[in-house]
Amino acid sequence: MSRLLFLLVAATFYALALTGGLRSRTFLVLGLLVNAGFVVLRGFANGRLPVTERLDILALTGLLFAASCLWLPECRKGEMDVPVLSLSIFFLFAALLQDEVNTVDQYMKSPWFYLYSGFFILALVSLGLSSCFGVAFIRHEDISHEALQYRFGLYGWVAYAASLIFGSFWFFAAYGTLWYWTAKDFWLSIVWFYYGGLYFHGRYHPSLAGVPASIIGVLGYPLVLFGYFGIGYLIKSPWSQF
Amino acid sequence: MEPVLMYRFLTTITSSLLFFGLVMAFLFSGVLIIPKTMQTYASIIDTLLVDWLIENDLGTSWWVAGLMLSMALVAVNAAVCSYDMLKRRFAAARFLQLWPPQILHIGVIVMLIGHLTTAMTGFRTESVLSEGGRFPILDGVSFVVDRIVVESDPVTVTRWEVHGGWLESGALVEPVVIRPGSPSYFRGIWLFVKNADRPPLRAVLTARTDVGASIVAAGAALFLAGGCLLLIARRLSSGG
Repeated sequence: MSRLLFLLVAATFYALALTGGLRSRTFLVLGLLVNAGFVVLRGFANGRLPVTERLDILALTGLLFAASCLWLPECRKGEMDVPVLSLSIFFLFAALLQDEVNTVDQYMKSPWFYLYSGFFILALVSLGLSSCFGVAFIRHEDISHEALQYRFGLYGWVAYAASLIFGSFWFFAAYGTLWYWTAKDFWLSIVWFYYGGLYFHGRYHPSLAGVPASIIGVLGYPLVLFGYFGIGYLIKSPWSQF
Repeated sequence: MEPVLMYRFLTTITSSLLFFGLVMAFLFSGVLIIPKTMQTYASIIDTLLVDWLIENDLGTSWWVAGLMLSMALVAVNAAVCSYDMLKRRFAAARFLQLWPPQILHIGVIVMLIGHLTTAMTGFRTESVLSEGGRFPILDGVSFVVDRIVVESDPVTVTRWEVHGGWLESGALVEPVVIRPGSPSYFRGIWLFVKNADRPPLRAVLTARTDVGASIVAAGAALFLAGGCLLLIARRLSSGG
């Protein structure tokens, strides 16, 4: 019940922040305080960093999206607040749908696991921001948005790669193999090759530079989200390290 | 294709996009095929990949073989592109302008070599042991279990450990404690505790050798270093 309250209140404040005007920033800050309070309380209640369960990962991702609205100049100018806060609200609602586990498997008590989880969250946020800037560029063709799409895409891709690497190290320490042959592992590899191969190299191809490459970059984020939410539900996959 | 034409093709972005597309297509095939036929592919985990490819017919293994070939093409493509870039711009360009993508490429190639090494070499065995049990592993090396600790609360197991020691030709060389996520390493052999049960107290131990893992780790370090340098280079070139 308290989880429902915290996350719904935070999401409501974020939605109110989208109404614009002088109070929008106040609502954003209030939402951040409630969201951050939830994350911190979860950490204290379970005695660990809140990055081991889906519920916590999604709540933290929502928090980071909303927090980025505070420091991104484009959000303050009202250009990017709608897509960014919408993503924040999406992740909070996704968190509401998750079960509370509240225990940590023996194998997860490892610094490698925390590194994997932390970098994955950063990747989720950076790649989401990259997509938002890509949509803005496609709509308005402002070159500064394309540059920001690329920059956040690069941050996100390196963080994503770091999460795959540390996740593999964790899995090796736990189970003796770097890699597992599951649909989840394969899909995560597809995402890595998609950004690293198609998007970043496509930007330099004469026929793809500009809007086409930007579209490729934007379409990468649904792939990321499908890997996290869809594999295991829509496409069966046994448990793997990711 | 003439070698010169092949070289020129491999330095183009088009070739990179083509090979990346091939890799993704084979990975996507795996995403669709593995869940439908999990039993067929379950043995991939426990067998050397090269042996698995030999033992299974092309109807089962076509996409695995295709994946490995397309990854090899990506590695060759990356190597040729980096060589070409370094040859053309080595004298003129500064370190941060030129080297970060090349270090990234080298890291990826080294990781692929590491995975290929794992696919072709290595050893794996598993045993269920009670306290006092001995696990013969490889080349005169074995492991003896002295004590198994399993503690739990009403919900889950909270702690399990295997206390024991490495034996070489029957003599105790090194006492160790193995925990989940904290394996022991001795003479190139990794020893993991996969599970522990009670009662009666017993543990499932897995031993393996994997030279490729160290190579992958080295490649990963290079890749992350290249990634960080690329982020710094892009930030500096865009004025912060």
